[in-house]
Amino acid sequence: MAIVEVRDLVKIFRVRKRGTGPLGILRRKTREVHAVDGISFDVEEGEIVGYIGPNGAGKSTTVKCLTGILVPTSGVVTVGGLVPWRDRIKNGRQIGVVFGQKTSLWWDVPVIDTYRLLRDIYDVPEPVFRRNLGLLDDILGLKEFQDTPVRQLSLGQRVRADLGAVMLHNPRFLFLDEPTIGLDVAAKERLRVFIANMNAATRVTVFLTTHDMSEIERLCRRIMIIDRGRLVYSGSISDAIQKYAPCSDVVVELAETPSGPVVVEGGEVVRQEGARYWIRFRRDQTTAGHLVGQLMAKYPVKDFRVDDPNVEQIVKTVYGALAPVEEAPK
Amino acid sequence: MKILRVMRGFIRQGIQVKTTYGMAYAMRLVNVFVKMVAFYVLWSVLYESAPGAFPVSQVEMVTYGAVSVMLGEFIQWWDGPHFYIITQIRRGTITSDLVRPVYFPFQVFSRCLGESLAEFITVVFPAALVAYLVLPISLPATLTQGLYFALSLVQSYLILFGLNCLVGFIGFYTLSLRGIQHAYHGLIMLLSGAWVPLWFFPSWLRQVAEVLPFRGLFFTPLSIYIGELQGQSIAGTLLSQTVWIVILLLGVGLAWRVVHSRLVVQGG
Amino acid sequence: MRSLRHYWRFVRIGFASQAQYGVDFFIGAFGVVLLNLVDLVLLGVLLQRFTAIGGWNIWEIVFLFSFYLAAMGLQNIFTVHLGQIEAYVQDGTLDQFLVRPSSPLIQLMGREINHGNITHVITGVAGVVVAYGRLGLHWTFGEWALAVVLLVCGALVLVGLVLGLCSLAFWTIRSREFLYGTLQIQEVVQHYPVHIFGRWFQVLVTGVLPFAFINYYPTLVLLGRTGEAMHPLLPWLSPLAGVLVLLGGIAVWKLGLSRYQSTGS
Repeated sequence: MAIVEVRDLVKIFRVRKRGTGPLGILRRKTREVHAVDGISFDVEEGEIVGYIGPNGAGKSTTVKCLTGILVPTSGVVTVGGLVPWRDRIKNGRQIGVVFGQKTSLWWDVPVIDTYRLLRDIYDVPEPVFRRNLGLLDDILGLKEFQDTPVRQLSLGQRVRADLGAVMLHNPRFLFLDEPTIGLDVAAKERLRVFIANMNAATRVTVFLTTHDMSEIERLCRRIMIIDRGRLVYSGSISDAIQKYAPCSDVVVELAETPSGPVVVEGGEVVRQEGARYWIRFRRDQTTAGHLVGQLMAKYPVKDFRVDDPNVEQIVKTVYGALAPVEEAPK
Repeated sequence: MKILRVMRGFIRQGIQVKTTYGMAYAMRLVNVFVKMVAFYVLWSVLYESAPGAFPVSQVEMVTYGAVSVMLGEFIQWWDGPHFYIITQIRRGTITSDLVRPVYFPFQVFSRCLGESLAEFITVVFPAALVAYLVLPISLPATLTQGLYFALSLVQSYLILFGLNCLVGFIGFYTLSLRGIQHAYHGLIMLLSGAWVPLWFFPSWLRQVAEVLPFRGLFFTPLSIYIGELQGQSIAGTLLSQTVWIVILLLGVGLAWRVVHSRLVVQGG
Repeated sequence: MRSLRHYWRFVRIGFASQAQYGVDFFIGAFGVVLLNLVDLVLLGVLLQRFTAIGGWNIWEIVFLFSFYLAAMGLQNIFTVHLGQIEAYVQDGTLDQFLVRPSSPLIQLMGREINHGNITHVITGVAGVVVAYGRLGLHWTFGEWALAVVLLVCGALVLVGLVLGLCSLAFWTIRSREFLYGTLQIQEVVQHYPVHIFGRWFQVLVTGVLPFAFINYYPTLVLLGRTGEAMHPLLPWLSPLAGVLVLLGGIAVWKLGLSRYQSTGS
């Protein structure tokens, strides 16, 4: 059963732009921006859902509507049976939110002090608090810096501290808005492990917005793509790949350039650099093996590899609006 | 001339900064106006209670108060050379100033002069306009008096620059201006005549004030403006301003030599 | 109430958060004492010549002035960070307030505790006590209690005003400017008995921007000069004014917050 339900969510902003010049304050033009323009989706309990889209597509706005920060212009949103902006206090107890690059911790005090304060705000019983702290320390390595003021932490440590902070009260829902921005590869990996573990251990439902494709691929079974306020795709990654990037490339390097063009059945040369050829094929029509076999029979193949599409390519295709917008939102 | 062009640039920049935030600008004007009215009321009330205590007429006293407020936006010790110096040092950007083939104190002066002139245009001028229309205040009695006033005002500005610079260089050693800024503010408030003219001071305090440069900031130009200082005494007062300018600017040059050498050694 | 318990926790953490001990604190204290002293010395110089301003002698003015200082200090301890509301909007702090199961107002108030401002309170109280001595007053315990109540209510008036004016940030981004715009009016109310400025100014600082309830009306009550007010009962309304202005400020905040929730900035 769906634990998050969104129906026809619309959020319109009125943007007032100042006129130019010293009297600009008197001349203002008002524009309506449809940040979210009729989005509907469901999320099941325990899912990790990826929410991706270009900058300005409406991702953060959606998250803010889901977490009670913004009141939608129209539409219905329920999170765990509650309406986020109306039942704000009750909803607050069941969610945890991390905004990338914006910390939720007090700046000048040690992390552990903020944790204790949060324990009180969220009414976490002491034994539960202690147990969670231990668990979080195992995964995030909190003991390393929990007595340090947040001001003195590195970015990676701070993000870890933020993640720990939102898990202290065992939320049912975790909203992560670009949490890994600015982190190095090792830190990102650590975070991914954390999210996967938390999801496995507590069945917390995770709503993740990000630009990082490897995160999407490793964590999310389902993704939703949003563009200019509308839901463009909702489904599994593999289906998305099949729909938006049905081709793969065999990249082959020949020992010497042949006299004529390289011809292969089922594939098309899309690029050539010296003796290296990119041969594109549709995965539903033929296989890499079939192509490589032909190539090796006809030409002196020195080296080859197969380039499969990843999420990045899907997204580029969608952002670039090269593929038609056809998938109806769920 | 290149200097004029640069100056014009600073002025324009200063004006832009001050008027970009329309609300802040409007509130500034509000504050200036309220202050002028406050002084007007205060001096009127006091004058009516004891006219004999004043060596000047009521109009002159009220003018003193109003013009003092206007000058206060121009003769400023809350912002200026000292803050510029400290900020540059803290940010490390003082190196770019040092690389230019221009004497550093002079750079500071032109920059701050630009800002002060911008201040004059955006705040003092509108305030003065409103004040003359609304309040019963007067202009200098004669053209010569007005010219003397202008001259003493220029000298006031130079004294202010010298003082602010020195404070800035002292701040260089402590890396913070807070403590010294408090004491500086206190001294100016007490001894410059911006609020209470020196003729009300008990004689011992007046003597102390006469010896220090602060009265040259407000009391001197204001007394000339309202005509409390006339003829012979003007020459003497103007000269004392000049003497202080020389002393302070020499001090600035000296302080800069010391600071500069320390900067070069430490690398900021 | 849970919220008050939360607030107490915030106060504790905010207290620890302000590393204001050491040299910095004393420099600040020095500044506060010095500058207020200079102000009073100048007033003293004036009053030496004029014996009274609007019928008030030097010690009555010192009382008026110091009362304001103490009330302002009290208010600053808890609310001086409200000028940051626009910063909280931009850096996501406000969003975090909304996402937690706690009143955003309580979280806002508890965000910072500026205990350095205790210097203002101490200096102000000292001034009041000195003036009390010089004026030859003899208060009963009840009158001392009344003085404390009036001081706290004066602080509440200022809290309400600051909260309301700073909440205007939700509409125009630069909240500090509005507060700044009232600075001169505050200076006037702090330094002089407002009746010397005429009726319309009195109405302004009583009904529109009720700064007069911070020090002027309480002083009228405590010095037995209630007849000087526009209406003799007005000064006794100071405690009520404190509550009303505070509620007014809270109302502006709530309005601003709901505007933020519908417009997002």
